[in-house]
Amino acid sequence: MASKGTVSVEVSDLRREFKGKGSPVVALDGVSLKVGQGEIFGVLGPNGAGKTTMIRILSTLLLPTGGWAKVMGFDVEHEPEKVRRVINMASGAEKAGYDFISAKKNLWFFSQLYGIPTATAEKRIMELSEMLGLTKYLDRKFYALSTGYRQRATIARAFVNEPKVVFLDEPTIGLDVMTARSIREFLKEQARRSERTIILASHNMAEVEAICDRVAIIDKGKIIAAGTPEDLMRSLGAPALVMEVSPPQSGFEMLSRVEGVKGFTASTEEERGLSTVHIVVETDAAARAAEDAVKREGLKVVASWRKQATLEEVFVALVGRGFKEREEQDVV
Amino acid sequence: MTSLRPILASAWMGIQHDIAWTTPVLSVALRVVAPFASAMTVSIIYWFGTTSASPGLFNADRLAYVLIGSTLYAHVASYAWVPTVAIAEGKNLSVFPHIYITSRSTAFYVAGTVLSSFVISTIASVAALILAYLALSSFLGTQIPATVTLTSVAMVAAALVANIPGALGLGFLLGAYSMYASKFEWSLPGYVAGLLMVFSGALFPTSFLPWPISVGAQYLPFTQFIAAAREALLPGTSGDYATSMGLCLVGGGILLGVSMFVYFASERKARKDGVIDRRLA
Repeated sequence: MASKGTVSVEVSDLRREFKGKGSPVVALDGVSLKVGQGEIFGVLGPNGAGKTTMIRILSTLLLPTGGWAKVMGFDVEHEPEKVRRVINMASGAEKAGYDFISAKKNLWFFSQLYGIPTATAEKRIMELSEMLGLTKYLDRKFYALSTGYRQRATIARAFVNEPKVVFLDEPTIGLDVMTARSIREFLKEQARRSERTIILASHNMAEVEAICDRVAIIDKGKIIAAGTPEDLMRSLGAPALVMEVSPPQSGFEMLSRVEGVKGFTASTEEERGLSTVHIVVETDAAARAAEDAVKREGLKVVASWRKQATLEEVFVALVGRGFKEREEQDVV
Repeated sequence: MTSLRPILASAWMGIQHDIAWTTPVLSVALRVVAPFASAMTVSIIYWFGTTSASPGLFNADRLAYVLIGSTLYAHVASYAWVPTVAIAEGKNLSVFPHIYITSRSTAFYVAGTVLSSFVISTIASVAALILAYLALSSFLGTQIPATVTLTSVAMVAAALVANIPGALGLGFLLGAYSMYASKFEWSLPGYVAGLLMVFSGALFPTSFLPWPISVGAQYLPFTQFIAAAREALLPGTSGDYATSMGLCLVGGGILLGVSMFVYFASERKARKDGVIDRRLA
């Protein structure tokens, strides 16, 4: 998977196995990719897909069991000290910090671990806090900060050493819409103005679609699709088909058997007495076949219309369908 | 300076960890309780045992020996815990992996936190020694011998400094373990401290131990540190001061070298096994 311009992160045939009770568990299975300087690169995947494992390897927390990875030209396995000088990371789930000191002191402490002079560090902390809307809360003890401000402080920490590459794992998880939006704006600004490369692992399709230049969809340790969000949506061919079906149904398994249906999601609205099905189809013929398949089950299609597939629908089409196929293979 | 920053910042963090939950005075005062209680307990047991067994058995020099040894032992025991707590707590607060991926990584952090505890426990131990000395003198109504001059105090201070490599060595050795520990990490420093009470000559000369344990115990840097400090305050009781200082520095240096090797090997294995960012139970 290629990038344009200077390459910041390069991964080749990366593999990681963990000891299991029986056979080893493969978390990463031959992943290869290139990420360019100043690019925001999204890594999408379901739980256990290998996103966090990849970030742990790239940030030198974990050794690979096969393949290699380089960050700014330094090998993560053999030159971890050099890699650490140019990276940083943050995880939305952790909100890491020492509770007994203030947010500012937390940031100062980490700046010192990078050997940054205090005056420079304080200036940088103030700039980052300004950008992240954290300034008013800098002197509060870390435990006294709300989830959103703890998260802003965590993000600020990830940029305190002015890294060339930043790894973010679910950076806006659990945040309100406005906070999440301000963090996204900050990340875009960092990539655009400072040419920082950001690798963002996320479940949040809207977030990835909104800020990532390119995306890799990873499942069962393998990259199953990659490209710009637009390319991925376009690669699935025709726009999505939306159908409102009555009476409400819990399952639409008949759609799995329709040729040209790449994936679907369904939700039920009891109050309206119908189910809404979003289907990603390859062709117009497949859309008609899907509608017919539903009708053959004795269901009434109240309304149907076409729309552009979202990244979420692409994800479901690739990952959701993939799961089913594998489950069927496992049964066989 | 760039290498000193992470150590000083980690030392500052260690001090904050100890005092930020209350006022500095109260925090240090509470830190004095353990070494004071330790010194009082062993001293009173010695006094009670000897005076109960035979009226002429009590020896004020021996009481001073036990008093100084138990206080200095408490000093060693208190910083044995620090790397374990720093790593375990760091993992539970999720900060340890972020420290690990900084350009200086965790060795500077461990060194800084050990040094902070070293300083705090030195203040606490010295205060405990003075308080215990005064309390026992008053309670037992006896003059406990001690040579307290500018020279002897300087000699004790020099012994404390000479013990820093050994303190760091113990810190890295226990830190190597806590890189992996899941549930027992809180217990290990206690076991180590318990062993040191027996093997460091805190309460009785190491020559009392069976051979070859007595030989091994004799060359522990902590044994030599206690011997040097005790010799400064009680001349003629614990061998030659200069020899003890030399052995303390050499032993501490060897321990530090071996511990660093073990620590980095453990860190590498932890990275291989993926436990650097694993939380502890």
